[in-house]
Amino acid sequence: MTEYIYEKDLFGMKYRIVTSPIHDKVITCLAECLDMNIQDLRKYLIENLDMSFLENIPARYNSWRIYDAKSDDIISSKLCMKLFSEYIPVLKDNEIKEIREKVDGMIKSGVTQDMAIKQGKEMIREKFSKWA
Amino acid sequence: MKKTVDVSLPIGPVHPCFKEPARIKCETAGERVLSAEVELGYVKKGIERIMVGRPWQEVMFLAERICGICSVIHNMVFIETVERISNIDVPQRAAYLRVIVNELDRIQSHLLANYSYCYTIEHETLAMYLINLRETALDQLELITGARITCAYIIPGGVRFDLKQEDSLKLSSAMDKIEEDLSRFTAIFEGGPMISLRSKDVGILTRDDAIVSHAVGPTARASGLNADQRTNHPTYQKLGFKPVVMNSCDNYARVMMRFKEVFQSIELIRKCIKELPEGVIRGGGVVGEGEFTWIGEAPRGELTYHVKTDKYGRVIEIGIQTPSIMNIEACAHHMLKGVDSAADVTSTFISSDPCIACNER
Amino acid sequence: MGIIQSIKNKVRQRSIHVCYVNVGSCNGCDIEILACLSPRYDIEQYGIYVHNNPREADILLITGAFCEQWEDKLADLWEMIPEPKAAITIGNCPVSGCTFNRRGSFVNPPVSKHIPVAASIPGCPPRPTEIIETILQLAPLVFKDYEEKK
Ligand code: SF4
Repeated sequence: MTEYIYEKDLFGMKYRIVTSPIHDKVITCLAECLDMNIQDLRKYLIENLDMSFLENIPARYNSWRIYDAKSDDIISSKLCMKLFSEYIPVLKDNEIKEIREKVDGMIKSGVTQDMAIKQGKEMIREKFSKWA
Repeated sequence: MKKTVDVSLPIGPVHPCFKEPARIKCETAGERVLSAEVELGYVKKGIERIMVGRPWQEVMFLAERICGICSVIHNMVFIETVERISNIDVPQRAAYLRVIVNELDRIQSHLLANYSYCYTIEHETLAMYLINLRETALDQLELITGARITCAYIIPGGVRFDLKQEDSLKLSSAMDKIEEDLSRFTAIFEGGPMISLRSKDVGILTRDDAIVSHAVGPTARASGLNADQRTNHPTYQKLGFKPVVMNSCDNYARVMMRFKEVFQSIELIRKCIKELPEGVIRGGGVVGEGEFTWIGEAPRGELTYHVKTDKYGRVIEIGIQTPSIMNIEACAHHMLKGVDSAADVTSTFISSDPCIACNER
Repeated sequence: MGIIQSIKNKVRQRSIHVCYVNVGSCNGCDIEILACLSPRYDIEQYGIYVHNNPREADILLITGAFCEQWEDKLADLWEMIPEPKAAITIGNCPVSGCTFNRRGSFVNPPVSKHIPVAASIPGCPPRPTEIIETILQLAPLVFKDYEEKK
């Protein structure tokens, strides 16, 4: 999301934010969701979000959970699609759409749902590691 | 696709309108703000880290010093979490006194917030009226608790000092004064043509955005969300508390919201004084081992404490989520977007009542 | 002492411009400064103006326990203020770090390590009256005969 740079390197301070107890829990959850290394995820979040946003990750995650409990779209919820496109916007809409189309295509061509979701997670991880 | 922007406009960290240091970076086209970011880190003290491993007696004072504006609620929520961990009962009289002190704190905090807003839109007369009225509320706080800002009034199993008969009379007359003066000031705010030009339809936070960014407190209630943790609090339930909700979503609504809540707090305090039960104010008890999460309603919104203690009453894990975290973020990424001028950026930011000290801890 | 100097001394006593900066406080001290502005204490009747603009300030009020981000910024701010100038710290935080000065925290007190401090007001937080009194007592001392002292 961020396309400009700041005069001072804020990495240390941002890292402190994402390692506070509440953030730790939420980011561990997210990393487990995506089978991803937690440190990589932190790094991606730090590079893409500003400080006020980083502070707000747990609250936004909670409001996503409330939304998610109501929706019945399993693939979207397993891949945390809405989460990464709207609630914690680290991926662009069209990127998410692309992944969604690919996963849907796989399921149509006979791949089991679990397999397809695994592939989808792989794609999201790829997006995350592109910048890391 | 990358859009072209005219200027990147940094505001802060030291700015005449801000009580605290924060840096807002706006990407603007002309004077219109396209997107904004808030960078913090100027008051990061690491309180959560130094709380770990300390006995509750110390953590109680540290909790209070997270934020000087809403110190009572930090104290209250931490103590209530500890009480719930160790099953300590609160005497009824103490529970009512807690509500009185908490509402006084809310009155002074809301008046301060509205003072800052009026000061930012350059309506200095009203601002001065409001901050003078705030002194009346602070006097009462000092009368009951013994200190203006950091009172440490609430302790596990009760409160520190009782409310004497003559003090409650003084409190009632102060409430009358605040109500009378504030109705006049509210009328000034409602009637002022300059104020409505600067505030109406500026800094819109729609209901959907408020849900996504999990806005809380007056900011959320001004956007039509019925979110108030006081409805879950046993004493407030007994007092028959109902939150106020407004639907116009702009700066004007947020400020009016706070005025209305002050009137509501006055009513609550009056009711408390009338129904104040007799009895002891300290029940006693021992803080034990356990883990609990408890949410209270600070002046700015919901405040979460997650506390884990060991069997000697030491805190071994603590997580704090303060309301300003959500409100500042909602303000930066939703309200500031599409604001028409640089002057509106500061007024919109202030209207969400940001408290950086809470935010960073 | 020349006539001009004595006029300057007189005038400077009645016109003190103040800027405050929060270098990591809990807000308690900041709102006590704001409370000084209220008509009850009426800081302006003594000729003290709170502008919060370092370029026209005479006195810098500092609250808070000095967080890392200010390492370079506070010195810059101090440079910006024109001579004669003085810094007053408010509260226990800039003196000792108050409750925050423990192992593992991110603060680096005292503030006097970083810029020269003329006076400190202890208290957590000090009352508005104490703040006003200190400013009023300190300002004439610092600004007296400034041109001749040089
Ligand atoms: S001295 Fe006390 S009131 Fe003042 S900033 Fe420090 S902790 Fe807060």
